[in-house]
Amino acid sequence: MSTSNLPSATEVPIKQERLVSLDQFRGYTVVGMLLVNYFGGYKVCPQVLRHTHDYCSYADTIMPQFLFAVGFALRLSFGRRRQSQGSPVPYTRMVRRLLGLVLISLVIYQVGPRSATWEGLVQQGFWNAIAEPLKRSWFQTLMHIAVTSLWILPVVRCSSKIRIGWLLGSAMAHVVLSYWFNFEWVNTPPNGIDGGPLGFLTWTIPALVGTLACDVFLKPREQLGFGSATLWKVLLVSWLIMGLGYGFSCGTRIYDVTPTNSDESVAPTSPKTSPIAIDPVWPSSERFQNLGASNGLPRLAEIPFIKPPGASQREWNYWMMSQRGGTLSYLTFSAGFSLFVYLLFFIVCDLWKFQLDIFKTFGTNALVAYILHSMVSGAIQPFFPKDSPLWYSLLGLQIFFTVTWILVRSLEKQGVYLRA
Amino acid sequence: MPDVRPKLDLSASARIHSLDQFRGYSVVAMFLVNFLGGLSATHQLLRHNNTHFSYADSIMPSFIFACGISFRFSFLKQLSNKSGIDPYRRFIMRSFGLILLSMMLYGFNFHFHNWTDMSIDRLGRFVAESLKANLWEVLAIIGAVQIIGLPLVAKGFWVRVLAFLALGLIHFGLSWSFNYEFVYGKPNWMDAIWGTTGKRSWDGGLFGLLSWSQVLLAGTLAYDLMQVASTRKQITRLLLVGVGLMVLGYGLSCGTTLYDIEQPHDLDIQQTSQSPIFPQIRPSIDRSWTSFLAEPPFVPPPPITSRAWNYWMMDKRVVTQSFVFFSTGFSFFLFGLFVSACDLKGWKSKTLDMFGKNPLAAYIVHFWVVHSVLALVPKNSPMIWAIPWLCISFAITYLFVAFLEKRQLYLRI
Repeated sequence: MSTSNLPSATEVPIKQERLVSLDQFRGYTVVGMLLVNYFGGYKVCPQVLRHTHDYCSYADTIMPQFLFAVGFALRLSFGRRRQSQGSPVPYTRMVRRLLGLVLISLVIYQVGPRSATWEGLVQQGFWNAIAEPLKRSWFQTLMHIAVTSLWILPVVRCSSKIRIGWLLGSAMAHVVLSYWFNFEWVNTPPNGIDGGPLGFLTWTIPALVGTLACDVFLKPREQLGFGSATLWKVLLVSWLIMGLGYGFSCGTRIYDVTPTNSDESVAPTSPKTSPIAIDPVWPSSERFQNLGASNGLPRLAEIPFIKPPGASQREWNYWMMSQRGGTLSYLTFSAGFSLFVYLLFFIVCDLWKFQLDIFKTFGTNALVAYILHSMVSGAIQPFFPKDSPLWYSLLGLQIFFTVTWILVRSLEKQGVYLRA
Repeated sequence: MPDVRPKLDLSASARIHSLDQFRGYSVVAMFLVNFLGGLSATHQLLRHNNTHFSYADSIMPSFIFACGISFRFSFLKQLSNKSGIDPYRRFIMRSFGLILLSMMLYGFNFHFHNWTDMSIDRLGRFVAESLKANLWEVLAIIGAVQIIGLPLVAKGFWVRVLAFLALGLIHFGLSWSFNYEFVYGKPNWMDAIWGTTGKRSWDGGLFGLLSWSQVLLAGTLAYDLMQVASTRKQITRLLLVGVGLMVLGYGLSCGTTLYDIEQPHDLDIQQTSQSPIFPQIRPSIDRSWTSFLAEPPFVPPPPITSRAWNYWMMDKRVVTQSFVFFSTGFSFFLFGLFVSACDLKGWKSKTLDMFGKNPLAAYIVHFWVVHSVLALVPKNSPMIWAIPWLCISFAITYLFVAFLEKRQLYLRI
């Protein structure tokens, strides 16, 4: 994406024409979420629809697309409000709404009783009682969206250079904190979810790429024709970002377990229970020596969507594409992938004027769909055991999907749209 | 009273302000009792005891009573705007929607752990238990009683009065035949057929819908009682009917004294009487008439060692007729007070108004909020710990519902 053509600091785009593609893209993402969140736990579910935390599966592309859409919409809504409300109002309004989203997260990500008795609670102490939910249960998708949005809020109206600088700084901070403690902390029980409490630093990548995409796709429509130079540039940039993410992920090959490093230098003498390397972010010198032993040739990682070897052959590390770790490679690749998918939606929906009602229903009420889907899933799944055969698992998926759709559709009919 | 044609304004924007306030009060009271009701330190008035009428027991009838008022109000409004079966179809769809929502919100309390668990027998057991008990949470009950009440809602006043009594008689008859034991999971012929022996119900279970339909119908009758020009007359009618029904309910509950055990014992105690509808114990001839007066509502009865549980108690678990009459009367009376305060004296609470206009959203939000907050409040917590969390829970719910109101987002029942 060329930054020279983007609006400057004060030129936050004002929407000229309704972007159908954004709702359709969001709707597609919700449908994808319904699929992977419900079906991902089933034995018959294909690998690519599961989150396994060691590579980027189809399931792992969903959440970055939400963040991409959030960034896009954040930049878009600032453009509108700047016009109607003046400078400071949009910030206070947005902060209030995002804090509301934090509150929703605290409510819908329910945790079990922290102690069965009052005496137990007193003994445990308040902080210990909430430490686990703070690290794990409360920090799921909505909380990540809220915290990431708060994090990028100061720069969302700034120039593309500042936003890119913010993105790079956040990514660097994540690498450093992961080196210090975060990668191991997130991967230690109770495991963090989607990057844990510091995950917002790398979720910033798809969110800010979304703001940059907003600048491009709100240009006058005559500059965005099919086959136009702008769209070619977007395509190129999306593949470059994906390539960069893949490049980062090649660092994972340094952690291949060889007879040498597994027997002598790296592997602990006692049986290893954790799949995580002892040096997950900055490889030890022994690993570099082993790299030298392999002629110093760069070793390529498996391409995205292809599962890598197991932990016995490659230790878990920061460079693999891990949603749980919120790693740099994962979020860089998935930000590029989100941009690419959005580009396709723009072409199909805004240029070719094609749209699906179901994406509209889910896309215009994504927050409600998100809240309802976990409720519906909780009610339906007990009747569809995880080891069910394919036909029965798909029947459950169909029922789950239909019920969720009925509820969201009925709200749409009533004109009830919930937007945080 | 002749077949009453509505005199209230049925235009699209018309609202009964006292009804919004009354409904809002029911929602707020529900927050209170649903939060505190499960804690051991909570006063019995704020708990569901199933032995007598507590304050907590008054909430659900009030809510369904309010639903009854707005049911007739909005049904007549639709009937005047649309012809044919359209209003019926709309209400049936809405009611099934509520039942579906309730099923999703509460789940089914049933689990197949693995594929080998699946069998026709277990599926049958699931369906039977759901129909008997698990399905019947408050939203599903409201949906179902709307469907039961649909053929009656547009009928004349006396038709609905007769339906009220007939439903009560049917519930009484079924309870005599099997339903009392059915609800308490005691041996009975229906459970033997149903295949759910030992499974208990709450809030009346499947056949409790008959009793709750009475409360809904009472709400539609209250709507009719308000069809007079003078607000004072409306209030007088509501208060008088309320007092009358409460007296009747209390009178019915006096039957419980026939189950007094003259020689208290603690061996081989059965919780419920062997014959909970028609007492087998012959009252002593030397009992004074005052000994046949039951404890007044809100006062706990003697323990089970002194009195066997029976159908005549105001029991929300079975939704006995004494409970229906008293709670309906209580709702009439309370609503009368709200009409007096709101419509006559112009009193209005913004908070109650907000909750009263969006009760379904408030209910769903509070369901999640209470579950989340109670994670930090063990059941044996002292009140000094529970009350601040109650306030936090209320404040969070308030914020969410206020957010919805600000955006004019209302979920319709």
